[in-house]
Order: sequence, then structure tokens, then C-alpha cells
Amino acid sequence: MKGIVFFCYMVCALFLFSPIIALVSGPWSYVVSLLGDTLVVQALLISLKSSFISIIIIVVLGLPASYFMARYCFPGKQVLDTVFELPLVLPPAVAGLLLLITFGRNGPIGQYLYRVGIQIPFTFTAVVIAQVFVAAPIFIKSAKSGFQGVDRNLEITAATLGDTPWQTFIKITLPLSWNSILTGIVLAWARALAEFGATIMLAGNLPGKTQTLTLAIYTAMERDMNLSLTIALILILVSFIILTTLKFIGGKRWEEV
Amino acid sequence: MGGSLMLKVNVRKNWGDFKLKVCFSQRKGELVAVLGPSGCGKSTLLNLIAGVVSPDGGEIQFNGDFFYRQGKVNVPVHKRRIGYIQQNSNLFPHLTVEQNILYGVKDKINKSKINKISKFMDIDYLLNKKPGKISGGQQQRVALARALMINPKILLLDEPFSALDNIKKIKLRELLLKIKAEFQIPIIFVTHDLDEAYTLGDRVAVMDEGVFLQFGLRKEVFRYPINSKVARFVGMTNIIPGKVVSITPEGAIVNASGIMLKTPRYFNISGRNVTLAIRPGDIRLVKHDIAEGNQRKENVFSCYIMSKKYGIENCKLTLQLIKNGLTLEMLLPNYVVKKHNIQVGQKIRVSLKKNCITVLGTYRNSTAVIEGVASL
Repeated sequence: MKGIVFFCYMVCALFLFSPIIALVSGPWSYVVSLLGDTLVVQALLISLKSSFISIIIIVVLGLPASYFMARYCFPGKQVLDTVFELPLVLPPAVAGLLLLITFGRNGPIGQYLYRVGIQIPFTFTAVVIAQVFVAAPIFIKSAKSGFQGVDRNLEITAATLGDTPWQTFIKITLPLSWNSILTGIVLAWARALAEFGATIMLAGNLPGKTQTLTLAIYTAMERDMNLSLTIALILILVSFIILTTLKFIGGKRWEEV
Repeated sequence: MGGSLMLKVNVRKNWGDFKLKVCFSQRKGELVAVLGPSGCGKSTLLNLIAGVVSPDGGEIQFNGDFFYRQGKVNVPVHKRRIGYIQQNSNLFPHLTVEQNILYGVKDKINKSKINKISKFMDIDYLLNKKPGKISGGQQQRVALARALMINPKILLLDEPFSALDNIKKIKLRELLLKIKAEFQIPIIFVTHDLDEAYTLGDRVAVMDEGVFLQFGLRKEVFRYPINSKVARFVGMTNIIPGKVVSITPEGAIVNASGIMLKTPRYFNISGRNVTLAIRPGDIRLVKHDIAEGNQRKENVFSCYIMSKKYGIENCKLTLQLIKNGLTLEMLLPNYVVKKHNIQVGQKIRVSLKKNCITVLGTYRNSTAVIEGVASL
């Protein structure tokens, strides 16, 4: 028994570790020299810019939305709440296809936008829309559970001590759910940065316009495998930073101070 | 009396089947204990006064200002300046004790008060700690200090001590009485604990199913419950139905299911049906040689002991009167039970002293009527 489970454990570990072998064995000096390649630089800028804008939109809209989900109730709310979880289970390619139809020239939303001269598909805006669509639910889920974890009676007490609802939110609710909100931001940002399927369907893969880092890896593979590896290196670095940030957030809790 | 009246409450609130309808008023420096079983609407009443929940109708008035009047909230919760303390101290876990205490203080000048108050509450050595690191009793002291720092107009306490052990509970009760003397504001204390209501309340309200069954001075409520429900709630567990047979200058004679009881003379109609109540602790054990119908000792009866149950200090006996089979509860100090070697099945004699018998509903509580706001 013990032998078998140990064997499976080791197989899993080796399999999950195998990509790192590729990294270690890569021609490093050459890979690093490709960091300045136009394709890489352009893609990096687009990725950073789009994911940053996406995160801003997600937080500005998602924070109030998740607070509402955590605190208020109305008939049919439970059904509506599931809408927020749909993108979590939807394959990104499907999401991209549906978004393309929606915002396309003849789509239910797209046709009206076209009339006023706004074109969404295959633009930078499309990159942001795809990212927001797949990443927002991750943030909302996390922020919502954070808000739910704040005792309603603490908010009531703050109100009796003279706080307006806004003051209560800023001074009590927000600090107490801060960990969950920050976790949500980091995870949503990671998801936006990793976005591939929905982006390529809705925004295409236009270098310097809609080509993000993940899309650039795909394009670079046809030209030079090592160029892909360079981009991969950047993304791994970013992921590493995200993981350490999360660990840091998780480790610092107000109860233990 | 009208000049010192501070708080007038007259509110309605419906939650589905549950209907709350309460009307009372309170003077400054007065502590009203609201006594009732869980789910009777005690906490809702406090939420209504604090402004956390809006009434369906009525009015809440403080010193002539309307907090709420006929569907309109004039003063929202954060402007009412009400100290509200619940069973969970609700300290803000991300702030230190000192930050918690200062939370409601908006101007700088008041902050010097923290030393005075933390000394008064005996929490001055905790100021730099986080709430999670201090004990339950200390947390409640901090919560009280925090509420007092805003110079509250009213103090509302919702079972604040019920999660604490007995020693802390008694200490905090004493502290609360000190606060009452010092701050001279109306205090409403909600509890399901009989002792707590008795030791703290200047006036006591017995609440059930959303209404005050009785509201009056502590002594009145505990001594003269208006009906059997209140009587049971304040510990008068012996409830005996009867009929007035005759009136004498010393009192009334009541036929209580077959026995003749001398009772106080709060009523004067012969033939009237009445309900009598007597506390288990007020039933006396008398010597065997005192005859039933003895003039000096009143209401002496022989009975059998049906059961015996020791408590920490007192022993609870169940008696059955031989004459009519009436079952009564009696409380005797443990040492008396042991000294007389009282056993189950034994025959003893007891006296139901006339002045200890309450005729339910005959004593009209004057203060509540005078101060009562016009009912809805």
C-alpha cells in the first residue's frame, strides 16, 4: 500500500517538475539576449497595460458588487449570483466565441456600438474585455467571502459610535476583509495575465496591438523556440512574484499581531 | 415627574408572525431591566431604540427630540449617540484596545478622558493589546469604556454578561451600578437572568411575545405579578386558583381547590375567582404540634413530601397537601433539611404565610400608568 502511493506521489512530483527541467537546460545567454526583441517588448507592454486596466475595472465595479452580494438579499438573487460564477467554469475559447458574437458587427450589443462608430473585436479594448470577463468572477468570489467574514454586529457597533455607512465601510469592513480583497486582486491579475483563449477569439493576435505575452509565446514558436522561452521566463518571474506576494499576505494576519 | 423624563418609546414592528408593540418611558439615571425568554423581542427592542432597525410605526423620543416619529427617521443611528453593548463585545479586532476606546471620539479634547475612564473601568494596563489577547470580562469592560467615551445619551445592554463566569458577572454588575451613579443616563439592560434583573433593575419589564406583560418598580414586579405567566417568570412557581369565600377585617378567605386560605385583602368581592401565587422560598416549615387552623401561625397544612432535590444552598421539595392533593414546591436551606432529617414520603407541616401570598392582578402598578405614553 505505502509503496504504491509513494510511487504515485513521486510520479506526480516529477511530472509537475518536468517543465523546470526545460528551463534549466535552456541556452540561457541566448535566451536572455532576446529580452530586447521587439515582439517581446511590445507584448510585455500590452500585457502589463491591459491587465492593469482590467484590474482597475474589476476592482472598481467588483468591490461594490461583491459587497452587495455579501450583504443584501432580494428575490431571485441566488439565481443571479450564479451568473457571476459562470465564467469560472466556461472554457475560455467558448467565452471568447460568445463575446465575439455579442460584440461583433451584428451582435446584440455590437450592432449598436457600430452605429456610433465603436468597434470592439480585434482592438485593445477587446483584450481588456476578455480579461475582465474571465478574471472578474475570481476577484468577486474572493472579495465576497471576505465581506461575509466580517461580523455584521461590528458594523452596527461602528454606526452606534457615530460612523456613517461610508465611514463604517472604510474603517471597519474594508480593513477586516483586506486579505481576501488583496488575494482576489492578485489571483484575478494572474488570471488576466495568463488569458489566452478568449483573447485570441475576441481580440485576435495582432503584434503591437492585441498581442499579449501568452499570445506572443504562440507566435514566437513558429519563428524561434528560444524566443518563446524568453517570454516564458518573463511570465514565470511574474508568477513567482505573485506566489510570494500571496504567501506574504496569507502570513500577515491581524489576529496574530 | 415629567421634568426628569428622558426617553419615551412607543413602537411597533412586525416580522412575519412576530409582532412587537412596546410603550414605556424612562427617567435619567434609571436602569430598566427587560426580562424575558429568548425570542421574546428584547434584542429587537434595543435595535429599534438604537436605530439599527426601523419601527413600522410609533415614536421614539429623547428629551423632547424625536429620534423617530410616524414612519420617519429623524435621527439616524450614527447621530443618536447611544452606547450599545451586546453579548459579544464587538471590539474591532484590527485595532488596539486604546484605538477601540477612542473609536467614537471625534474631537481631540475628549481624548484626555481615556486615562480617567480606563482607570475607572480597570483596563488601563490593557491599552496596547489587541482585543483577541484579552479575556471575555476585560473585553466587556473595554466595550463599556468605548461606549462611555462618546458621552452616550442612553446605554443599551443586550445580555452583556451572560457569556461570562459567575465571579466576573458579579463584578461587572457592580461596575454597571457605578456607571449608573456616575453618568446619570437611562440604561436599558436586557437579560433572561432573574437574579440579574433583580439586582440591577430600578424598574423591571417582563417581556414575552413582543409585548411588556408587566412594567413597574422591581419590588412590584417581583412581589405582585399581574398574571400567572409573569408570576412563573419571576419565580413564583406555586400558582393556585381559588374563589373568595368571605371578607374579614384581617383579610380575605379564599377557597383554593378545597382548602381555606387566609390571604391579604387587596380585593373585596365575595365570590370572585382569583389566582394566588407563592414563592417556594416563602413556604415555612412548622412544628408538628401546631394544629391546622392555628390562629397564630396562618394557613398551616399537613402534607407529604413527594420528592427532594438538593441544590448548592437550598433543597427543593415537592409537597402534596393531604387535604386536597394540591402540589406545591418548597425551598428549604440544605442544613434545615439535614437537621430535621426530612425524607421523601415523610409527613410534615407547612405554613403558607398570609403576607407571602400574592393575589395575582390585584395590585395596580401606579408608575407605569402615570408615565405611560398614549397607547397606539
